[in-house]
Amino acid sequence: MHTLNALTLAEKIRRRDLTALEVTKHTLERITTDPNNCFLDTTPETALDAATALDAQLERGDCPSLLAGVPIAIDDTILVRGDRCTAGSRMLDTFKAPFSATVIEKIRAAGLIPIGRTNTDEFGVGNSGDTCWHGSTPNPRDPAATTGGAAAAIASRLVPLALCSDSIGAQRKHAALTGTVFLKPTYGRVSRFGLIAYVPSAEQIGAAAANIHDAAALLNIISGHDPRDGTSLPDTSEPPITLTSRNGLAGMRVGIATDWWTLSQQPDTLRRVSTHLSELDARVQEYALPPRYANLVKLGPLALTVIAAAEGCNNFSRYDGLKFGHRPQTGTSLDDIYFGSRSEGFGYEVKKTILLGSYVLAQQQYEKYYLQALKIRRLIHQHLTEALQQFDCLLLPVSPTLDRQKDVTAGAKPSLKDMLCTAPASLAGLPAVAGTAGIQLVAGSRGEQHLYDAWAALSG
Amino acid sequence: MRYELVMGLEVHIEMATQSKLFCTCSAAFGADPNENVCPACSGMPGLLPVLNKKAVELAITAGLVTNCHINPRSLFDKKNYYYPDLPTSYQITQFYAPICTDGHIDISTDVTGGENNNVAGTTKTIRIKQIHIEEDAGKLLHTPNTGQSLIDYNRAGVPLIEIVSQPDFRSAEEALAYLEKLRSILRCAGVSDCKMEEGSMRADINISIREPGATTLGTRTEIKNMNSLRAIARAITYEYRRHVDALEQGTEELVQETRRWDDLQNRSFAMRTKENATDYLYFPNPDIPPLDISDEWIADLRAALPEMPDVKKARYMADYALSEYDSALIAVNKDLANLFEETCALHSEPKEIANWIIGELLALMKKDEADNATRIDAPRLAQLIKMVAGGSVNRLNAKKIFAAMYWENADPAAYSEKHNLLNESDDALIKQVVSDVISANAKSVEDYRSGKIKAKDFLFGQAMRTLCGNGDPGTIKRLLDEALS
Repeated sequence: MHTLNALTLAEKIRRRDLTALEVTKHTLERITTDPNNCFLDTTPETALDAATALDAQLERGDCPSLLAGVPIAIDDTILVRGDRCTAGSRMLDTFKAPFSATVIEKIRAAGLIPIGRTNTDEFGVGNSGDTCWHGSTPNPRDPAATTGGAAAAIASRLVPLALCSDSIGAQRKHAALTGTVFLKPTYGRVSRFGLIAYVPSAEQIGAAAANIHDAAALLNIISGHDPRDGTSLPDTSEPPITLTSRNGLAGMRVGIATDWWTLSQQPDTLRRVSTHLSELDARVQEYALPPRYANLVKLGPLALTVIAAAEGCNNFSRYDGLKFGHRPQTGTSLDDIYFGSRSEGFGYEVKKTILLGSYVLAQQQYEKYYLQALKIRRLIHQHLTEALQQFDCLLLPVSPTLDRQKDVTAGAKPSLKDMLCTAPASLAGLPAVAGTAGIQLVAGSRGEQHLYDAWAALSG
Repeated sequence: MRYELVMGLEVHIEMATQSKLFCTCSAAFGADPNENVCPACSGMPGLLPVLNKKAVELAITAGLVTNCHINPRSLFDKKNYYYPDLPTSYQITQFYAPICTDGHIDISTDVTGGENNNVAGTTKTIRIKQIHIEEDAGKLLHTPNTGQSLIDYNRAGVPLIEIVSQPDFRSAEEALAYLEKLRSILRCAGVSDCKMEEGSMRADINISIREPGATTLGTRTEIKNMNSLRAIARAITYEYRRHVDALEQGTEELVQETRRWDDLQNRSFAMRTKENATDYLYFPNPDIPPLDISDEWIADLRAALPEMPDVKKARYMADYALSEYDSALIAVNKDLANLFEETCALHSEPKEIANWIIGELLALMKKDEADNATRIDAPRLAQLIKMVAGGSVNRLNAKKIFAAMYWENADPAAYSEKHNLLNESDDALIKQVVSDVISANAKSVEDYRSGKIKAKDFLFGQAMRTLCGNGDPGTIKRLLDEALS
């Protein structure tokens, strides 16, 4: 049953060919045999209780959603009340969430079964799944490389679905490297309430799945306005995606974002995908930034680095060892606690973020770096928004190279190169889907339907 | 040389909201430590700030009553510093684009009062640079005996406004007049209770001095977190002297720094200098969208404003024929004004009511060192005044009763009965007493008859004493006059 996709699995449970309880038990069992460190914790008691309750509900003929009964993994940056939530950090190694994220309430109400917590880069800082205090997760497709716990769990068929947050593009990259799908919604579409913050101005919880249909169904469930998140979009009560595959893509306008493809080492991929799109009757045209602004391609990752460092540095400042979180064994003074908890509690990448963030926000540097980054962000938003009035979506690579061996030797740290193709959608708050074949589609604000239509047709 | 004092004030006001600025915890003062705390205001991860609309409305109201421009769009920023009283290690404030700018209020100094004094002093305009919204920090309790420091986050996240003045003050007197005026109008408008003793109003003072006529500013020092008017006056006096001594006698070199006032030692101490000032790494808060304020919203709040003290004062002079001095004293305090008007509605002797409020109630409040005007209510005050007017209680006893009303919540009728404070109304008894007093004080009677008018006052006093203070003064006087004629 673990080879079934989420929608099919849910249908079998709905028809009572399978029970949610047996699916849950089977999933928990398979996770115990996982060699890849995908999961940090599983939560068997609550999962089995939820499955039992759902089975009773289904027996009464009451089905809460299209995905009811499907086990789902939760990235370790999303709070589930009563469960340990570490954000992949030693700092929060013993932290138990005092409340649940909005997305958790929504998936529970929809009858999904949260099964456990997947490995993550520490506080989301990183791009390769190897900055976690609990050790890294090898990519099941390519054990020499590392990846995110959620993507690896889906690729290993441990779970069909996962919730995780995409800040600088790591989840899109993980999806591409594991041959899964990650659907990042428009900024504000999904509530961030209960997400441990790294880059609040860019990050969004999205849907990780083995295919676009499952991802879209999950996104429909977690979307919607939330008064507990001040940046939540108004008027988002309707699910963003209608799940009916179109027959071909007649009328769809797809722009090939040439500024990014010229930097990519995957001309074959581009040729294959654009031919495929044309065969599906999509109108495929090249799109280039105005020549004056072509440098935005390279400035984007710089701006995102500065913004992520500033916001990260600030959000990590609450971890001071006083109220919760890691506290050093020795020392009695306030400074002992500050230095001890933060020196021991944070890993290298997080510390680097804190240093860089403090630097770019300092009075003397503020204009030169932070304000400049905001300006670049504004320009990217402006140009992409303009482009996306001409096109329904833009086709970009996920990364300049998907040569995994090279990726490993290049070092797994979040380099500018890694963010080159994911930064635009992050900075502009636009929806994007990425995965198999290393491609990425970016749509205009609230344009998730286009992403679904195009991706479904391409993979159909 | 007489140096000119140049001073600006930054006043922090806790706004009178039910809940905190960014979460639904109670913002009430006086709860048990950490009773009003939730994951949001204790800095847990995963929480997002949701702006309290009531706090925004009170901040707009504060801007309206201080003649500020209300900005159609203002922004929230984060101010970063590490200290245990700050749960997230950053304070949400408005650094780059505050909600209100460019206001002013008029203050009056040299106010003198008295029976025939209608002079309300000199008026001066103080310019207000800006008002911004921010959240308060928690409180630390240091216990020197155990060496422990305890944290109370009840106050963390309580909504504040900071009102920043221009450096327009030239004396401590002006600073106090400004603070009293601010307190009066903000209380009246319902923005805050402005209780300095509970910390809901606190001031930072920026002080420099310069030679008369100079146009540049001298080296500035800032005294932080002052929470009593008396201490503020003393601190300003001290700091002015310190600056003068430094310039004239070279006692020390003045540096731009932040200082702390020690009221027990009556002196200020350096806290940190400009060189080691913290860089607060201000930057825009990505979790709070820009705050947009429509003209309609402002108009609605303006329409809902109660009558301000200055208008009230004018009305008291016109409608109740009170002196300017009396009107100002009552109108300045919302509770006094309510008491006055409510009592006037029950008993139409405005001047007499004003006298009780100014002469007795203000004195008791001063003795109490608290702003507890509501301890006296209109029905009982009216009743007491009627008792005096009707002759059943004399004025001296009425003051005792009034004090009991204030301290013990006493009922005038029951209290005067119980404590035997009602006037002796038995003419025969008083006549006997007067006759006894005249027989026993032949010398005084003789003095009076030979023209020493004052001797009658003595005889009156003797009669009243014999009556244990309970004689109706009118009756005693009448009978005494009869006996002496």
